[in-house]
Amino acid sequence: MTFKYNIYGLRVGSRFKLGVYPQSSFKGTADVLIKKAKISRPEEGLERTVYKPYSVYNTDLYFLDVMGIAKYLVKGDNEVLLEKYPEANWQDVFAFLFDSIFTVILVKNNIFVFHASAVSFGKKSFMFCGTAGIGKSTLAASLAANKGAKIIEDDKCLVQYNKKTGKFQIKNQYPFIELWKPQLGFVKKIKGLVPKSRIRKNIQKFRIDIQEHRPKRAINLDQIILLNMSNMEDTIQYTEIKGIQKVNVVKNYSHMHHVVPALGKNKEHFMAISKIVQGIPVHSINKSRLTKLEDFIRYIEEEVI
Amino acid sequence: MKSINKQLVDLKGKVVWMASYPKSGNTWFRCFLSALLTGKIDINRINTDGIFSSRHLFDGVTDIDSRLLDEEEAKLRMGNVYRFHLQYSSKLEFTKVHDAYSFDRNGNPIFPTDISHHVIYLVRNPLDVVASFANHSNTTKDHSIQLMNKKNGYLVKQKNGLNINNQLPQLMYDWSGHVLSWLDQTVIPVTILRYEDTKKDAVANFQRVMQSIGIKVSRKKVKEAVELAEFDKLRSMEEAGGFREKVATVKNFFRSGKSGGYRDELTINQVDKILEQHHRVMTRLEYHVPTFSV
Repeated sequence: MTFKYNIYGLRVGSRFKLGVYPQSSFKGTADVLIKKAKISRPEEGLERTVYKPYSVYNTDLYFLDVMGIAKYLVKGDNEVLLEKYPEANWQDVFAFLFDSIFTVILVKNNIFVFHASAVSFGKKSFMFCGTAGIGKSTLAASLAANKGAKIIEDDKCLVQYNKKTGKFQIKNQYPFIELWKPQLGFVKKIKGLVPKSRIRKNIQKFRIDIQEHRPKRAINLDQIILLNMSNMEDTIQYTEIKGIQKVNVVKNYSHMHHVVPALGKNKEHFMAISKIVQGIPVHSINKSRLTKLEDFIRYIEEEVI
Repeated sequence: MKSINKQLVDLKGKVVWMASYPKSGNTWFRCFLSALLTGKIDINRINTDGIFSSRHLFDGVTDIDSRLLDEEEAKLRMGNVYRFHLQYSSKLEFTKVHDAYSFDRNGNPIFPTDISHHVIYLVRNPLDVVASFANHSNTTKDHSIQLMNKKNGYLVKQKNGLNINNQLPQLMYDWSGHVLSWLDQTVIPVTILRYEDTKKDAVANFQRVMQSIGIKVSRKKVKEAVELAEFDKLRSMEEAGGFREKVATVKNFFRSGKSGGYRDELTINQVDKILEQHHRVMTRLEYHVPTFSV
């Protein structure tokens, strides 16, 4: 039996149910097949291969050992093998599958997601890129709770080109947003959010179903905003990034961009980012850690949206 | 004499841990070191090798989002993260640490012995740490004392399970526990650098520390670096251009830097609370323990 899923546009088949991830339907062969198997760390000495303490990767494979949880092996661009540690629970196995492993599968298939949240106001959408902890989720949740925005995506965003309209668009691909316990106050204020479960038993982060809340159609991407934080003065600096610098800067906001070169996808990555930023304005916002959330959101409303 | 840089290259693959309880002179020492290695000082570009608890480093080496790991799971991997990181170093690294010397759940030290060249343990009279730490954390002196006396005190442990800071949570124990964890471990050589001694004679003490880790450097070079990293100059730089390592809600990182300032800043009751818990370790470190209180 094969369970079917749509993951960022990829048709994924799995020999077992992927926890809370909603099933999909498609005809024909899956682009990627997930199955259980015994997995060993790839042997030493392979050419052009990155060997790290818990991962090994090259153009053909990506191996990740999350000790105590599971070992994962992505083979080529169409097969994922998974071996759960006996003491682990499936909820934990899926947490890492949905994160690092999904991203690697996408990269192998020339799909590059941004480490970003995205919201829409009517027919416009805005993508806020930034590293973990910069406040992407809080910003998106706050804009939705207080300013009527719709959350399109919370952590990983796929920007797609629409040949018919000639525009770049964002459509919800991942059916959940994931919020920390202190951020859950927003959930009650946002229509259509349904809390599902913790991501992991021992982690205070919760998975919220946004299928009833998200915009149902793809929304044109109006602007890419790169969020950065400093300990300096309480000022917000808003700078447009221009020319080729756009590509150089924006590609560092791809999720797990550090594995892209060894996976042999440098050229594809560069081309994909280059195409996107040619059509979309890119701004950088440097805010201070001193900046209060309400002041920052007011700034976003007045200066950006 | 070999140049400092050549001596550092000879020791590549190893690390010197610059370990301290917060506000004990770690940044000052890093500024001195940066001046010694580069001949200049910019407090926003201190030329040492980061902090052990860096989440960015951890995530990049493990390919795992560390926010998905609990503290014990992260600890199990920290040694390997640093071991891997050092494979790519081109010289001896100097890494800042606020964690106590502690162990993972399998009983292995989180600081791997095989890559550890030396520990510089920077320490300051805890009575003076109180006000400085309170200013640094934008909190009260009483709260600062509470943390310094907490047996399982942490740095950067967020409330309500939130775990998104750019540093991993750092177990420090209480002030005495932090000191003893580093001084009583026997597998990595330790040199103690008391803040108060540095204030009295920075040149002699910084030179002593460099010699203890096996780096030969002339008194003239040390003197030049000390002059570049004078406290007043660092403070002026902060006033002119800010300091990115400062906690945002705090006015100044470089405050008074005074030794013995506690006499004007702490109440007798606050002094008592520190002495009660830490007088033994203070005595061991040859700090004066006011007799009226113990």
